[in-house]
This record gives sequence, C-alpha cells and structure tokens, in this order.
Amino acid sequence: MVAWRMGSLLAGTVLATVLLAAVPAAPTADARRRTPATTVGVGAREYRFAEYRASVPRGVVRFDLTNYGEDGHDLVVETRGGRVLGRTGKVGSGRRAVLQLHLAPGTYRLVCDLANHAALGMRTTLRVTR
Amino acid sequence: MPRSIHKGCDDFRQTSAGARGRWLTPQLTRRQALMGALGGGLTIWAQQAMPWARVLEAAQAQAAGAPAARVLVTVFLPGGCDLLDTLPPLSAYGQYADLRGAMKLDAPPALGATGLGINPALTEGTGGGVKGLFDAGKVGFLPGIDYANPDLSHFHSRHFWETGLVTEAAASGWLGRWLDRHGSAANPLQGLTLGSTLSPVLATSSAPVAALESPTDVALDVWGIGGLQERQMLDAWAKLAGGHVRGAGPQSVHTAARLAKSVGDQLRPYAPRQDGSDPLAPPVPYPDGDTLGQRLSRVAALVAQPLGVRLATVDSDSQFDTHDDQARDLGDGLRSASQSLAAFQADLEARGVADRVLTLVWSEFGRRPRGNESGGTDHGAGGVAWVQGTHAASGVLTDYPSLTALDAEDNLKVTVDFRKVYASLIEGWLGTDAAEVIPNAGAYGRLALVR
Amino acid sequence: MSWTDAHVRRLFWRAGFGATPAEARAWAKRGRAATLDWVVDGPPGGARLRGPAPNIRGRRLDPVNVWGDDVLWWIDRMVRTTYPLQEKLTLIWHDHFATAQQDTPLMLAQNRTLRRGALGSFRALLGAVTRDPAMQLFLSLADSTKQAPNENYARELMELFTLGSGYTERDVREAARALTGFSSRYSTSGLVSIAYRPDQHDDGVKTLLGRRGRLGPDDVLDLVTTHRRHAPFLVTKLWSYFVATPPSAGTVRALAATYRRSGLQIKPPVRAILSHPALYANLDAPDLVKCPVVYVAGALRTTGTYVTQDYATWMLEQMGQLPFDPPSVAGWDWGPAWMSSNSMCQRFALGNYLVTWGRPRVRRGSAPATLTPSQAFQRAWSAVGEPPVSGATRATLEHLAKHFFDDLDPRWRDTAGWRGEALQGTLRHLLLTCPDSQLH
Repeated sequence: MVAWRMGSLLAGTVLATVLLAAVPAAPTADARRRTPATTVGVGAREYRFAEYRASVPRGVVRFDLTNYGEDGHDLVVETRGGRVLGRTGKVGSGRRAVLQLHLAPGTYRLVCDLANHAALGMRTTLRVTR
Repeated sequence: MPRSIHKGCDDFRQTSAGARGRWLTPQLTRRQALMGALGGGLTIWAQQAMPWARVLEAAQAQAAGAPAARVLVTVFLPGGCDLLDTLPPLSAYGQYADLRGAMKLDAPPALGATGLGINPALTEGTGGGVKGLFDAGKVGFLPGIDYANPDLSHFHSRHFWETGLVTEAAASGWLGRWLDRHGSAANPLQGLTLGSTLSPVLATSSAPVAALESPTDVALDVWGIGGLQERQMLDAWAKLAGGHVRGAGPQSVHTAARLAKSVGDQLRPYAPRQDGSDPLAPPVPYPDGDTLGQRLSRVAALVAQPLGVRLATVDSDSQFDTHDDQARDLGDGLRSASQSLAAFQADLEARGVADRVLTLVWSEFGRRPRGNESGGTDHGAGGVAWVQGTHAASGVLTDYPSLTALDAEDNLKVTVDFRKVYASLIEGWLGTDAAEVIPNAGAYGRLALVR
Repeated sequence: MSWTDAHVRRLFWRAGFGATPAEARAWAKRGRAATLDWVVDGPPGGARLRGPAPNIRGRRLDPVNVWGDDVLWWIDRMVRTTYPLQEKLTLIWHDHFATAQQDTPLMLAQNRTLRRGALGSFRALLGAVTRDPAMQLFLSLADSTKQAPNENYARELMELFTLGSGYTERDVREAARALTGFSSRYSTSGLVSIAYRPDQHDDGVKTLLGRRGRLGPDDVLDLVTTHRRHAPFLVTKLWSYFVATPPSAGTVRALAATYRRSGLQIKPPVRAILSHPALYANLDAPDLVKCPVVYVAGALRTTGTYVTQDYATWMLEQMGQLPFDPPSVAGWDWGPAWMSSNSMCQRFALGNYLVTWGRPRVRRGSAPATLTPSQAFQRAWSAVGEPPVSGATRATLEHLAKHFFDDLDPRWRDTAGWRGEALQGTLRHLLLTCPDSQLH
C-alpha cells in the first residue's frame, strides 16, 4: 500500500527490524510466522520513558517509539542480565522509530544508553507473559 | 557562575508550551498575526482571487522579466553548530585543547593563513569540499555570529533567526517579508522550501510560496487513467476551479484548486518521465543517499529553469545539537554538509547559473567553549555561519571570539549580530533596502558579503 | 423557514459530518423542529457506533500503542456515530483546549474527557480540562509550586480559553499563584498520577480580576467564567466553527444572554447557532471551508465507506490537521487558512483512494459506454452520496462525459465498458474533490 509520510513534528522514521530469538526454547519458525505482532507504544523525553503497556504476550513484539523530547534518544532492549537484544539507534527530536523483536516470556529492560540518560531516569522494564 | 555540567536542554522545558508551539515550524497554510513595527493586517495568500490563466503567465513573466535575477539559498544546520570544532583556532590551539580535552581535534587542516583550522569533515566532497571552495575563494566564514544576550533554547533562537526579529511574538519570516514587498503576487515557485513543510523563513503575509520535496509532489495525482482522458479530467478540474465566486472561503478554495493545477502544470515537464529518466538529473555527482544533497540538487535544477525561483530554503537532515559524542555527530553532520554543498556549487557552475546564486549556511546558536562530561558541548553563544558562491566575499569575514575573554556565562562573546548579516545580504545581494525587512536595520552596520 | 433536503444537508454538514441521501430525505419530511432536536440532543439512550468496527488488513486498531491508530479510531467514531454533533464538539474542544506532544494514553484520556463534557456545563468542562494530565503537562501546570509558580496555564486560560482580553499581566501572575499545588508522580513506566497537594499550594492572599482572597484553582475558574468578557468571547468562538461570517453585535449579545441564562451550559448557544438563519444562508453556495478532518470523515460517512485502511492518518497530516497534534496551544487556523496548493493536492488525492477502494468504487460491468452524459453524471452522483453541487459543476461534468469517448472509433462504443467505467471513476473522483465539495 502506501508508506506513511510524516510531517513537521514527526518527520522521518527509522525502521530497525531485528528478528532474534531472545532466549533458548524459542518457538519453531512456523509458529513465529503465524504469531501476529503486539505493539508497545513508547514515549521518550528528558529524562524518562513512558511505556503504554506494562506487559505483552510472548512472540513478536513491536516497539513504536516517539521522541517527544528536544534531545536525541534511543531505545535499547536488553535481557535482565544486560545482554542487548536490539536497539532503535539514536532518534532525533520529534522523530519516530520502530523496533521489532521476538521475545520469550520473562522480564526485559528498556534503556536509553546515550550519555547519562539511563542514570537520569530513562530506564524501565517490560514483562513478557506466556 | 558556571552552569552545571551537561545541563541538557533544561531551558527548553521552562519555556511556555504555548509560546514554544507558536514558534514551531508552521505548515504551509498557517500564518500568524504580524504585530509591531512591521504592522499590517494578515491575509492568507490563497484567499486572493487570481485569474487562473494569469498564474502561469505570471511565473513565466517573472522569470522572463528578470532572467538574471539573483537567487538566495539558505541552508539550516539544526541544533546549534559548534564553532570551535568547525573552525578550530590554530593560533590559540593550547587554550582550545585545554577547553576541549579528549574530544579536541588533533591535527585539523589549516585554513590558509587565517590562523584557523577546519574540521576534517569539511574537506570531504568534490574538489576538497567546503575547504576546497574556501581555497577557491568561494566561501566567506562568519565566526562569532549570534545576537546579544542569547536565549539558549532551540525554539526561541530558531524563531529569532527565522523571523529576523528578537521577539516572542509570532511573525512572518525575514525572507517572507522580502517576498511580500518584492515578490510576485501569483508565482508560488518564487519562494521554495525543499522539504515537506514550509520553512518559517519563508512564511509570508501575502506572497505565494511553496514547499516540495520533488516536482511530482505538487501535481494533481490521478490514478487509473492517462493520456487524453487524464488531460480531459484535469481540464474539467481547471473549469471547476474557474469562474467568479464570492466570500473568502470559496475564493480560497478556487484559488488553491487553480494553483494546484497550474503549479503542477509548470512542474510537469520537470517530473520524472515514463521511461524513468529525470529531466532534473544533476550534471554532477551528489553524495549517495544524502537528503541534504538531494534537496540541493533539486534547488539547482529548479533555479536553472525559467520558473522565477528567487529564494530557496533547505534544512540539513543531520543533528548538530551535540551534547554528547560531538566528535562523531558533528563530523557526520559536517561531512554531509561539505559533500552536498560542494556538489551544489559544482552543479550550479555546470548549469551556468552560479553567478546568480548566493548561499547562506546558518545555525541557531553556538556552543559552550568548555566541553561537558559526555564528550560533547552544551548550548552556548557565538556560533558559525558562512556565505558561499562565485560572488561570495571570501575569507574569514568577522572576528573570531576570544577563548579567554568569555562572557558572564562563560560563553564565547558574540562578534557579529545575525541581523547585520541579513541586512548585508538584502542590500548587497538582493539589492533592496534592508529596513523594509529588518526593523532598525541601520543600527547594525553592514558587512561586505558580496564580491 | 421552509425545510428541505438542502436545509438538512447544510445542518448535517455544519453540525456533523454530512448527510446520506436517505437521511436528507427522511429528516426533510420530519420538519425543522424534530431534526434540530435529534441533531442537538442526539438519539435517546446516548451515542452508539453503528456498523462494522474498523479493520485494517485483518487487524483491529490499537489506538494506544500503534502510531496513527489513535487518529483512525477517532475518524471511525465520526463515521459511525449516531450522535455526530457530539464528535464535532469534541473536535472543537480539542482545537479550543489544544494540547500536543503528550503520550498517546494521556491524549486519549483527554479526548474522553472532552467528549463527556462536550455539550454540558462549560464550567465543569473547564474544571476537567484544568485537571487533565495531558493539559497539565503541556502547559506546565503540574509541578507549578508555590516556590516557583509557572504562568503558562494561567496565561492561556485567560487569553485563549475564556476571555481573550480584559485581564492584566498582574492577573496572570496572581492566577498562576492561585493555580499552584498540582504535583505529579512518576514511576519508571511513566506518569502515575497528578494530584492536588495543599502543601504545594500558595495559600496567600491574591487579587485576581477584582476579587481578593485566598484563591485556589476552582476560584480562578469561577472568576474567569463569571467575568463579563467570557460569555461574548466563548459564543463568538463557537459561532466561528459553524458560520463563515462573523456574528453581528446583536447576535453576540443574544447568544451570550442565552449562554448565561442557562448557567453557562454549552448546548443552548449551540442550539441557537444551529437554528440561526445565518447558518442556512445561500444554501446553493456554501461558504465555509471544510477542515481536513470534516472533509475526510465526511467523505467516508456520506459515501458509506468504513475505516478499512490507514491512509487517513498521513493524509490528514499532509492536509494540515493531524488530530492529537495541533501546532500549538492556540490550535489550528480555520477557514481559508486550510487552503493552499499543497493541501488541495492532498484533498484531490483522497479521491483516488475512495474511488479505488471505498464504497464508491466502480464495479466491473456496471457502467456501459452508451450511457448519455446526463445518465453517467446521475449514476456517479448517486454512487458518491448525492453531494450538493452547483449547476455549473454539473454542466462541466456532463461536458466531460460527452467528450470522454471522442478518441474512440464509434463502432467500438458498445463494447467500451472499460472506458465507461473509467468515466465513472473520473466523475466520482471529481464530485468528491471539486471545490463545491470542499465547502459546506
């Protein structure tokens, strides 16, 4: 169909599609294809994240990030142990990015790893349920 | 009193959201009341009833009447471009190294005998990039540019630079005001933003202007039919948009409908053809996948056609608000600018229009001389700008701020007010009285920016 | 006043998102009073959404999380609601109390607040908006404390929301003091709550708009709504959404009196505006420009097209009116300001989508090339919901139909159904997007 075009405030989208098995015992390739994506909206600003849902079902998880702040930010998804599973890359002020991951049940960390943003508050968690 | 390290963009959060919002990029249809010394009522250009047949004529007439009319292009580097790492002061390198610590540029190329160096990223591109243009006498740098007691918010500062007024009131753009006085009443291509929304620099009270990414953007797009039937449909559209109607609303609709067709007609010859070839294809190579380069190539192509283009604005896609990792981010931004601007100059020369075009590269403020803890710099004063072109005055045209005599906030002192640069361009390049556009223009003095 | 299809259409477009042919005929018969009552009061039992829920390529909308779905969700409400005036007023209040750059869940919550209060007490709506988290964060009212009162909300409250003029800078400062005390609480997941904390409130004596006392937030709202400038300011603003020409001084006085007499209820002045002869002036020459949302939602609604695709979001953005993202707290510029060559190109482009995939799409075999120009026009006009168009428009389109086969050998005319279908598509596209259809 037609790609979305963004206007003045929300100009430009960075699409980072990273399909990774997050932890062992991932579903088969067939099951993965059939699973529809669940989207988690995330708002970034100085210096916090707002996640629009606290938990998602296992499977393909899509992060729809909007940077409402004035600084650049990125969204990094990590395991509880700190292993990076995917990132949006630096997203400029007013811009959006989409990150798609395949996540098994568990708790994951969402952080902005630019400068000292995480220390200032840009860190949160997401629960992935069965 | 030193500011806290890496304060980030706290200033912005203190600004009235209402005020901030009023200054954000307006869309093409948005105009806000013009108040104060420049006075006057506000009309939306589309409201005026223009006989449609005259629109195309007007564009061609404007082009034909002044075929060698000068063009001013402005290129915006958003975020506040750092002067010290763009033009590192070699003659004060010790102080520079002390201020910038680990993020300093180690052996920047020298900029002739000016005592300044230049960021290596600015040597990239055709013919040595922006440095190559400087060596060829086509670039005039303006270090220390800003305004007194600078406001360090992106939104405030950008608004001031775009309107040419240091005021919180909403206003038209400085080049928009020029078009209101010296432009055509009927040719939207006289002031072009290459982008999806009109730059506030070109926001006008009455003169028509346009924003486009490509010539096809502004054409009426019809699916499913072509050839004779498509022409018949669009002729019917022109008829539906014709005739005389009463009332501001109906007039604005009919005018917009006529212009939608006529602007499309004007640009159709320049849209990519059926066979995939591009009539606006540049005669020189531009950097791959670089939006700034693509937009500049469109500017060069459209300026070279008889379309009456007088002013064009382009925004860089890079981010110059380098609070962290300045070495990488500023380098990336300057590389894109250098490659794109060098290609742009070569393009204009290949097309034989370079003598008519002058480009101003600008940013909304400078940055603090002392680096922060994140390998970057925070908002400061005394930034960098430059003029570029075959008729640009060349060299370092303003005083480089002292690194030791800083202002009360430990920022670089401003050595030239941006309104002086604007007034100089209006008089020296566009050849009209600056006071019509910049209030109190006489107070700023003039720089020779044109050879 | 007589009461015809044309009157119903005018009312339905101004008060909502247009009328289908069936609606226009039915309500013309039921008469002016019954129609106005239904439009203003809505159906008994409240608003419902009629028809299939939105479905984008097999997926349901997720307005909270998926970017753009919030806009589609609201456009869908406008298309399917049985109480269009309520959605129209929600849009109007969204412009009047413009809020932007806030997280989607907060904007959706504000939208619900606006809808709930759209046609009730203005004072109650103002109270709800003042406490609304999205508004509080946008205008820095949350965490405006007695130590550092923030003047943003106080200023916009008076300048944009209630008075327009008649207050001083001192009033703004004093109001800011009186509005202090709201305090936000966050977790790592985002905003938890905004609550009023008396210990954060400046409980000193203030003088505001002539009243002196230990004023708090509700006192401020009481004072601005009882100020003598408020009623004329608000009714004039409301009028401007429904009628293109400004109201006379007498009309403003009358509407303001109605508004005050009702205890500052929104519905009575709205009913008066919707009954006013000025709304029905020049039925054959509409003069109010459709804002992009009304144009898009109205085109969907009057053609019977449901939300099954996602183009509406970016199209509205290109036309200059993306819901939940006004350009500033002053909202959008309405009227002729919507029009430019760029926005008109987008409005024209909408026709492509409706004619290719919407209800007005041309079915194979449905349009022989042998229809007369008048028949071709009629068929196209019916297929797009019988939009009110002028005689000149009709003549131009019939002329197009007449010459659409000029380049065809007449011997092949009978079998040129494909060309007849192309003509239908073209006529439908033009009817949906022509200047007549940009006005209401």
